Amino acid sequence: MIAPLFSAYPERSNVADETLRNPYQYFGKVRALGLSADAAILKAFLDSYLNSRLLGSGFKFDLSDPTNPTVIMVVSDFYRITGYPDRGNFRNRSLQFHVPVTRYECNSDRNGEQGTLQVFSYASNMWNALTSTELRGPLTRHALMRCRTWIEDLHAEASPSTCFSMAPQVIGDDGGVVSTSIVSVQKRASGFKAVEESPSSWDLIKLDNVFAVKQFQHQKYPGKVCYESLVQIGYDNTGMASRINWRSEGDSEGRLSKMCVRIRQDAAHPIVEALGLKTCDLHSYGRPEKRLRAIAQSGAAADLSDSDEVKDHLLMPTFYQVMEAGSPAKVDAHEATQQLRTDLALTSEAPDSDLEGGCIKEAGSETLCYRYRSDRPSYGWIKPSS
Amino acid sequence: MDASRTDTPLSTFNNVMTRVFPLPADQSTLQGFVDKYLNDPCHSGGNYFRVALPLVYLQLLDYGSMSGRLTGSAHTSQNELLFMVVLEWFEECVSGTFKFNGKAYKRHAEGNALVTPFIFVDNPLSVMMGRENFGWPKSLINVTPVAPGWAPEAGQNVPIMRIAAMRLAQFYEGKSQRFSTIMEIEKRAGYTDGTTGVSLDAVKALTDWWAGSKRSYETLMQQWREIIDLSATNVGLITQMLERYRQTVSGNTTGSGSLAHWFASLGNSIGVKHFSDPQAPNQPCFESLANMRTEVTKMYGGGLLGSLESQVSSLDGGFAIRVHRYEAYPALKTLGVKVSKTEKPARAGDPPVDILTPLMPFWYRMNFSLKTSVPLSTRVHGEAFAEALDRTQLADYQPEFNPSMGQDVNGVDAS
Repeated sequence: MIAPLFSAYPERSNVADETLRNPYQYFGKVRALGLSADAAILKAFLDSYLNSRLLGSGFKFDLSDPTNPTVIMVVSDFYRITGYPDRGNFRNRSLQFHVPVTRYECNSDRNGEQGTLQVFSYASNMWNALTSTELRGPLTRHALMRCRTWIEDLHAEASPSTCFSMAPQVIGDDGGVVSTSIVSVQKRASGFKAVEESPSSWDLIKLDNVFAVKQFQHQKYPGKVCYESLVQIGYDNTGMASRINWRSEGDSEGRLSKMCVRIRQDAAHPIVEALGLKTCDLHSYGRPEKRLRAIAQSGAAADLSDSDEVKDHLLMPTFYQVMEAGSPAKVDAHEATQQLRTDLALTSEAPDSDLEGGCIKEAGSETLCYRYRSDRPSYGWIKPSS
Repeated sequence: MDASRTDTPLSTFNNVMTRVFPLPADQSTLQGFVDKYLNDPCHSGGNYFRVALPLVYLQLLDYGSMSGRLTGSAHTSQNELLFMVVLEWFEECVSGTFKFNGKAYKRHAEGNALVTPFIFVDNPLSVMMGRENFGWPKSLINVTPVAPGWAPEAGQNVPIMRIAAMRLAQFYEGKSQRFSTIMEIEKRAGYTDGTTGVSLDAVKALTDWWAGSKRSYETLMQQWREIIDLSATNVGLITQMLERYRQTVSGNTTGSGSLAHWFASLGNSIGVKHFSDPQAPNQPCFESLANMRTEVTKMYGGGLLGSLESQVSSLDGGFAIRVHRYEAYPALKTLGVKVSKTEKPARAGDPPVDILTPLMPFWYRMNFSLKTSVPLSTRVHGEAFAEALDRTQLADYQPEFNPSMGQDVNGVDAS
């Protein structure tokens, strides 16, 4: 019997919790952009975000490559995500930042295991954001994502253009919560002050062992957690095929050096500051929302004071890699018309044999340790096996 | 700073326009749902909830502004659609006068509570905040006001509001997800005296069944006409209307009528905060029954929904609610809401549409605040109640929520 697509809580209560049950299969393209980071800041982030929290748990993490630390910006565009086996389909774009780490554990034979820590995650599909946050673990925010084209599809001599942008909800100047572009990938203009960095040897195929902190705020004590755990998510990436692998300026007519990542300074999304990403330039400009409002109100742009400035960091990727799983041509013919069921098992049609191969498969998730508090102070770290 | 030690509300909601559509429901179905959802011994924590009356309140709320303690003056707004059930609240004791499932209970000091098992909002931030902080099972929708058509026939139903949700059944690879209509609220056009389509016998049968009284339809209508006093002030009108409403639907003039239940329940919203275990998604890694305590801080006014003509001629205010029967949103079936009529799908592949007739819909505009949220029970990873465990590892620290080190925009309590 195939399990329902959506979790229902409690069982048979018919209140769908809108998270999709794992394990999953993913079909589509995954892009990785390597971003150089300052070793000291990134290590401080790792200690503050993870190691200091894990004191007493028996787990500890270190940077995989402290001499040449790289943060991986992963942009996925899945035209099909489904439970495993086939339970219906939906599509999602996501943007995540991963820090390559090495895991250590007291009295364990898994010391030295390599993986990535997933932080700053965004998804275009609310179901994906909820599933990631509430079931898989990594806190994932809903965001608008626009993809006009990708750099490999632009002519080498094309004018600078924004390929991809991600706009989560942020707090605006007037206190209102609005959607604003925070991260974008662009073809950069000339005059870019590039920073010489050693290319990273990290490969997208290594994105098969992801660590994350699963965390929920306490309803009575905001700012505190009612539950948190360290989770490990495994993937089988063998179904992915390499499409692009730009590693140096000489590759593909030097097009890697014409890419840039633009990340806006925002207190709610301190990606560059927290991860210590090395920037090539800092652009200041008038806040576009305010300028648009001024135009709308007066018919002309008003003078903008210094406080109206926003700042964008410009970053140059050290590598750009694209891998693909599945074939859109085959999948397009497969109509995803299965009804959602919350109370009954899905009588799903048989999985399309064309889709069985060439996908990314979730290879199991594990809660390594957890702690929680009710109305009392927190309990210490507990391993599920204990 | 420990936020819980301040008197500042967790969230404040200002200028909230609430439209309430009471819907008759089957009480045994409702109770069956509440037993599974709240009274499950795994997480009820010694509490028992009994359905107070056979009504489900469909509410459409337009929030003027919402702000939270964590982000100062940041604010947002939203539209919200919810199904609310009014409950009587009991707590387990040694020798109580109430017996449920072989255990003794007494009435909880709070008396009443409410539960909203189906909530739809059009603000993504609110979806995640509501679910992950407070256990409100919110889904994302969009709400579209619909302009009335030109010169509809008198008595013709005209859609005024259309509510759409994400539908997996509409997803085809290579295309963006989209919203499909799950509900429409319609209002009859023109003068509708005597053209409601609600049979008098049906109304009488309903009021007899509901209130246990044998009042005549004419008596009911006379009471209704007395309510409609155009010279009354807003506050006076709502007081008068609600008292008459209470009398009308409860069948008595003293004691705990249905409206008394309704207002008493507003202060306590029971939520189930539940998150799945990634290793076993059918099992919780964390679940907690919680009581969100709210307080109405200002009432701007209120009254009946619908035209005077509709109110003096029928009890539905001229409204009809069309619910597209998607299995992902089984609110009507789950809560036992009585359906007046079902339309067959217009096209192959479309869902059937259930048409609901509200009973005395009304509105009010208010400010309210979420004062605090108190866990009633907690369990993790399939354990029994956490409070019952003898943990020797009790630590005196309070781990902080730390979403990637930044100022948490999710901290806007857009719940």
